[in-house]
Amino acid sequence: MVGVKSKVHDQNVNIEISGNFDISYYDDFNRTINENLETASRFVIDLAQATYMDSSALGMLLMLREKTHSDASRVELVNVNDDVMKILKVAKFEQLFSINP
Amino acid sequence: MNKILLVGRSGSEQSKLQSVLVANGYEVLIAENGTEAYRLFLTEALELVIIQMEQAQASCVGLVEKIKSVPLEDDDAGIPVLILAKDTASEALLQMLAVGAEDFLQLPYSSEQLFLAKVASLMKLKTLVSDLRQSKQCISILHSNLALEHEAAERIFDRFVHRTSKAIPGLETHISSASIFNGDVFLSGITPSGNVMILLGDFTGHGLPAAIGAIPMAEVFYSMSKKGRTPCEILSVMNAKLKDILPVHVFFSCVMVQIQPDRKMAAIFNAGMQPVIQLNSVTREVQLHHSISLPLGILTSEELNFNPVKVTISEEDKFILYTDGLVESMNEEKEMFGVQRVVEMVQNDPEMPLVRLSQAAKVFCNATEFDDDVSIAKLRLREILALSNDNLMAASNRMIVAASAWRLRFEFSHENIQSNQNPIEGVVDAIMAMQPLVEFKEELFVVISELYHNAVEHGLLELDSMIKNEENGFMLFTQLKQQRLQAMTEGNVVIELEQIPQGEHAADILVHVSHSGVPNYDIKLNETIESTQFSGRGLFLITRLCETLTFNEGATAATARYRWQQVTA
Repeated sequence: MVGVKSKVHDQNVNIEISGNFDISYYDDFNRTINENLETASRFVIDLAQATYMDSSALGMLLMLREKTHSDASRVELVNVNDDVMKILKVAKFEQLFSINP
Repeated sequence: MNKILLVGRSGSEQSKLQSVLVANGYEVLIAENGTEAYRLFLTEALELVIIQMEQAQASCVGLVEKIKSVPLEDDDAGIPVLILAKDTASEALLQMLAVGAEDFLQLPYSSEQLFLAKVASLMKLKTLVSDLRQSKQCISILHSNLALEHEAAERIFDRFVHRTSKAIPGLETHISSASIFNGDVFLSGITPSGNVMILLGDFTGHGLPAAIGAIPMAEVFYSMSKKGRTPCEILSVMNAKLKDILPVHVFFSCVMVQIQPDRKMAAIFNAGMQPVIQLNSVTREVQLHHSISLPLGILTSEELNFNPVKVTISEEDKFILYTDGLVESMNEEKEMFGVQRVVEMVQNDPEMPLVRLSQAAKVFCNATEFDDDVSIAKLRLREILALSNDNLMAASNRMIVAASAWRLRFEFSHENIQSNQNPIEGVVDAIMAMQPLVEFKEELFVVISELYHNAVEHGLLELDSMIKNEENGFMLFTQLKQQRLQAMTEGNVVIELEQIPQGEHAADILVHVSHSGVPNYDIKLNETIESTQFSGRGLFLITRLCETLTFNEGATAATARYRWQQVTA
């Protein structure tokens, strides 16, 4: 399965990304965020199934960050594999999000 | 409308066809021979030609041929031709189809409905084909317009974004035109004090938003480096501009490298790019300078730290900068070309032309996906270091106003020290107002800010710089500094500057910095200060830039004597 899947539990929105996280995920990702923005206290982006992430995916994370008012505790990236971690590290995104392997 | 030309000998069959067509709303013209038919074909606005093929078959073939060979306008599909034949196995029918007749029907036809359906479908076909041709033409006009606009934009970009203000010795670049509109930016220049500055950057996203940001970046880079601003200042202004203008999801990753030939040092600031490769072409040793900052355009300049990494350089060194496209090219197994392959290639052949790197990446990913969206720059330091600093300076120098005597005094209260993180830029600007010394501005900035920070950190805040040598020491040091800075309730730092002319085109500037804090016995100037050590590096730098550096007893005051001299070309 390639795409964006979301589960809502309490006020946690769990968003699973699978495949190459790039511009083609924009609509789904954005819709998922917007649908839950009012009610969610936390977004957990699960990247276990993400094989790659390009700079437009980084851009989408920045949009999420803005929508959550740059509150680092409201966005968490989890199950980050080595390839994706490398990309996040080069961009120094650990300064903006809490990132867990 | 719906005008049909019926070609054939008059008779009952023709009358019948005519009346069927007329009854179904078509207007019918009759031609009894080929010549008449062709005349009507040329003069009437027809939708369909129907040929009754019974006699003079050869002339019928000739008619179809003539009709189909009339040159057409781009959006015209031509008039379809329907053949009505008694003998569908005839050679003539095959010939007519071969020269372009659209369809045929056997006479007598089995049903009138079938005949009418054929007529209608051929007329519909004509509309379809002509619609298709119209859209094709429309697209081709759009395409040529785009190509023209692209070309114009490329010219603007060449002038603006990729112009080099002065030829930089030892600089080689590979910048594909495809990469320009994907947001790649390469800028280079020589500052008034003879430092070489290059910047390679890459906007996220593609197309217009990416390309638009490049122009203000070029403006800031060229205007500020011309005025001798430091990389730190330039990056800070660039970031502020981008934060202002870019949409939230677009950012600018970049590497800025400043080469200081006289000091044999380079300052590297990597914000979100792949590591810069520093290669020693003799020992083949490689140092990678990794990203130390978020890309520009995300946080405000106050939230970022623009301090570059300082490294020592030698004549054998080369710097290789490149955009993501090179190392992120993927093969069918989803494996990336990677930094390691680039490193190995340049290690094996340091003089290799850059285009070979991009070719290797192309071969690696089997050329299917690779669109040469890469920019690569290589700076050979031998050429830069071979030129004396004076040469580099003379390349951009103007005459300096004759030296005069003056004094400036700045006093920073503890509140000011708390709130004003970077007061030295203003101090240096004040010097420039007394004596325009653009060429020496960067060095003055380094001297004054090192002494100031030394006074604050060690004198007022009593921080031990040995902390920096521990693991994670740098972070610890910064944290501790913030804590103590906030807790500070008294103290001040005084900077006094005095220029003493040494003839018309030279002067000494005495930089005297004192603080009200504890005597600072941390200073051990007599010991050799290793440049790799974190602590003491600042003072080491000052001793190299200045004629003398002296401290009073207890080191609550330091005086550096900086000498500038007009370089004549």
